[in-house]
Amino acid sequence: MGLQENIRDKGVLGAVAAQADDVFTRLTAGIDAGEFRRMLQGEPPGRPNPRLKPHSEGFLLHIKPTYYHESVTRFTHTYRLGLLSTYLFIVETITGILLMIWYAPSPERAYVDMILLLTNIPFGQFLRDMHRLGAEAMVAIVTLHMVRCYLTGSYKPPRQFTWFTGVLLLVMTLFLSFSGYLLPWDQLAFWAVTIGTSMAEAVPPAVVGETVNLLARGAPDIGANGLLRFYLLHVLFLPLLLILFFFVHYYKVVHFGISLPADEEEVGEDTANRVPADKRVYYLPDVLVDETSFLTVMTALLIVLTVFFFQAPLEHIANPQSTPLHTVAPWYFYWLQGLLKIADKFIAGVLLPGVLLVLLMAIPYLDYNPSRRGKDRKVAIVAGIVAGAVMIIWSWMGTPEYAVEGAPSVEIVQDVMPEEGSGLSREIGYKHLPLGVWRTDEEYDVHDHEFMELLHEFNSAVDYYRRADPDFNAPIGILTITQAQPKLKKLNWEITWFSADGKEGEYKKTFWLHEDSLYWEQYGWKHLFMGYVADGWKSLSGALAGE
Amino acid sequence: MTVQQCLRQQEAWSKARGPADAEQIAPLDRASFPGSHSAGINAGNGGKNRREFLTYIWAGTLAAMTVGTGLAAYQFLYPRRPANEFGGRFFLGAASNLPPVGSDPKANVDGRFWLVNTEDGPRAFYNLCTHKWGDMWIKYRWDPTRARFECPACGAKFSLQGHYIEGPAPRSLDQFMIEIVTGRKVVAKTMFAEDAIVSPGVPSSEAEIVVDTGTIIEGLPRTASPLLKGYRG
Repeated sequence: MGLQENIRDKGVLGAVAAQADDVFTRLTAGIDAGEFRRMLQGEPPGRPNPRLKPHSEGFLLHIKPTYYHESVTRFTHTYRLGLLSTYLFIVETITGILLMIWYAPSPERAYVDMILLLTNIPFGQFLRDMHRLGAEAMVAIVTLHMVRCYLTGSYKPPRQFTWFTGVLLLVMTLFLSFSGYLLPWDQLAFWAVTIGTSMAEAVPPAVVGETVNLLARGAPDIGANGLLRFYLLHVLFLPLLLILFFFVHYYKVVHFGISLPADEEEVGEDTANRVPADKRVYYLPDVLVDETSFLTVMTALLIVLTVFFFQAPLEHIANPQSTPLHTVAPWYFYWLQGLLKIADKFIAGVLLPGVLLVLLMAIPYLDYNPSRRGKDRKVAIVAGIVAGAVMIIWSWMGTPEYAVEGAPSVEIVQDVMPEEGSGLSREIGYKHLPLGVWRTDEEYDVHDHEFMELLHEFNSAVDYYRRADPDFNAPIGILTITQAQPKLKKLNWEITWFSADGKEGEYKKTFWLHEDSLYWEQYGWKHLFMGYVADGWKSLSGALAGE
Repeated sequence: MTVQQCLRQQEAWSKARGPADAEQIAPLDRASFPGSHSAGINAGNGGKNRREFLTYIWAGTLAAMTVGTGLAAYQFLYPRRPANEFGGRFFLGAASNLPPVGSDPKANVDGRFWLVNTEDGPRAFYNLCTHKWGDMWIKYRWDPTRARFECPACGAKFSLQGHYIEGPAPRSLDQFMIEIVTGRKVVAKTMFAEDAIVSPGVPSSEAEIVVDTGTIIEGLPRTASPLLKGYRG
């Protein structure tokens, strides 16, 4: 009907309403305003179901199934882990693109840009923390997603290939996370990536390993070329690869459907296309509302965790001449670092991870057990739990707790004032470090709770190693705090002891701490965040008031 | 409005509608959408409202989040003004470094300004002739023999105080905000009044001089220049 006839029949207001409804219907690819409201009110659809139109006519929903089996929409069946993984990838993309605005991948600028981002850009630190937290959460959630699918036997026919692509996505997630590690160009980044890439060097024959390493680093060691290469891997190549395999994976998920609970589905049965009419839960509106509200809560949770409980570390600027004490890989590679401590580089760094990966991908093709019920899969479930436990043990072996213990004196100072990171000394901060000489063999009564806590920690660390190490007798720790410059305190840690044969030993380590150092534990960056929020609110209300 | 308030208001509405209607709250009545077509927007009149209402709460939350995110993104994207680069603050050091009163102005190339020290205090003139030559901004020069600024393109002349003297320029020289800082505190800055741009005053010798090239104060119209009259005769 033309506009003029519309106005003649319905009046101007009616014609406008009809026109608005028409626009609404086009935007939703087939849902008119009345149908939309009936959907929200929980009314059943008419016949034929008009709510299927956006799936067949719209681009965004064409990949989504029109309905799910009631049993798979239960939260405790999937825990929405796949959805959450996808969502975290989107969060990473958005925060990542924003971070790229203030970052240039060159050794001269990268670290300076990080400092600028943390100190001078509204929400810069927030976005960086969120990007980091999101990345770590993504690794964890993708892994949990895999564990869930393993425990429910969801990889069994017809979903073997879905599992296979899922393992590829896990590997890409790990690489994506790891490749971002180098970008801040601090000590943490530099040495974690040095260790990571040197593992590739163990690939035999030697010429292949060296070539792989050269291609990854762009030079014999990590420098400007390596940083650029890791940057491009991180922001372009790996995300594109991941998106490609995500769609392969998700197509399979839709094609075969999410596996039903074991009691409701036989292995090999096609339950995606034969859902009884009374078991169908339609995507529009039920699943959509469920997913949106779930992700809204998750977003709020992510923001709260980022603002109040998490800070991405930034260590000193990368220094190729000095490996910091207790250098570790990212936590999801602890297991690999643990293996490297006990075995040959080729076996632990290449062969074993390679075999594990192939085994993981091949699980659906090796497991011929025709049942998905827990009681029929005792071997598989026990094997899975054992594998998990072994991973945890290997991971523990990867931490400095295992076999990286230095001399007692070194460890004591590392405990109260580590080379990288904050430690209690920097946490309590400049204003809680009174000038003077403080010895562990004397009692003090300072009216500063924080400083007393530090002295106590120092005391107990010295005492611990005195008892644990027979070569560390009658130790005395001396902390000397002097004012090196205005606003700069010098902390001199000194430890003396006697070895078992009565020789006197001495260890000294000096640090400086500036009043304006960037240790958030000390100065409360949360305040900074709220300041930006207040600024934003002020400018918004100013704009609304027409200023 | 908080969720609690919404729920309370909804309760009030259902009470107002009387007991018969309390179970079935029409979300919008037909009158508010005259002539809506076919089954119409009000087809769901009989449905219970809570479900729809909760969905709107979710949508509202989402919208609020989006607005907040957009605002934060705006702040994040807004260009910084780095120190000692044009657009940012220039830290010129102690006031004792200023050129002596009455001497020639000092050019600051990076900051694109001429620094002048007068009896009233320092001024920083934006080194662009206020007369736009076509689409181009021309940099004017200091002529030491006549002790005035001269534009090599349009011929406009300005005094050491920045006042318009003659030529096609529409106004006196534009100035940058100067801040006088002692002990991290801004004690004085260039002020703008109806009839004059007031210099921050003579600083004490240990005070620091900061020129903010992000804040441009436009010169007064040439008709307001005290030197205009003499040249028109």
